[in-house]
Amino acid sequence: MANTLYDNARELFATAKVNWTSDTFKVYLIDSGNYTVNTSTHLYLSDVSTSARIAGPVALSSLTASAGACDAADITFSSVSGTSIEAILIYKDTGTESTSPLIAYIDTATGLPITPNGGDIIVTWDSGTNKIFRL
Amino acid sequence: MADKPAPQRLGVPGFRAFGAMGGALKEEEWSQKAEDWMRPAIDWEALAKLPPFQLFIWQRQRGPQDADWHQWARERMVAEVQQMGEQAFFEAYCEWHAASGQWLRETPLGKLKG
Repeated sequence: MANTLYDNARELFATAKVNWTSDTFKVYLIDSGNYTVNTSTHLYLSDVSTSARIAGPVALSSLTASAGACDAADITFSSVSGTSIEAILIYKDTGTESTSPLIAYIDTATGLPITPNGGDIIVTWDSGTNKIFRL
Repeated sequence: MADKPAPQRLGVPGFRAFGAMGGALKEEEWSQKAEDWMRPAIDWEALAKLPPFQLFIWQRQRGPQDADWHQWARERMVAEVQQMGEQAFFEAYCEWHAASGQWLRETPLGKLKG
């Protein structure tokens, strides 16, 4: 599977219910062995089993959306251990899992899959045209 | 006390959220691709800094998970160029870039099309 937005996120962006620069977005590192992504039917963080969430959440900061390219500062997951990680999940945090929309599922990145070694995991977003993703 | 392991790194290539994924290239995209291929000199140093190129390298041969992706891509790039030749290696990257369907508005060299 390629990196993609969840269908519900597309709808939320299209209906102005998600604001990249003012809402709170957080990131989990995901073990796909415990979460089979379905970008059509999965809507909220509660659709992602807790056993699949290996590290996080880490909040995104310095959010920008110039020319529709959604960007943020690189993030660090501290002292990560656990099973192998195959994906990165971005969601909008409302404070309640059952209302926190899933935004993006990224399973294609340099370094994936990764087996945590107890040290930090640094996620570097693309600094090119698309940034994290481009609308 | 044991030292903390060196950080591991993930490099995420950006993607177009609403773009068509994959599919045939339009004529102008082929033209752009051909133009990229026919450049007299490839800026390999600049290429090694591009996340799509680093991902291409990673998918050909996985490196250490604490790698500096830029440095590692440079090293692998040199080895691949020596093995395949400059043009053949660059064409392989261009083919992969087009087939991925994730950067339809960018050339393999990271420039916006049109």
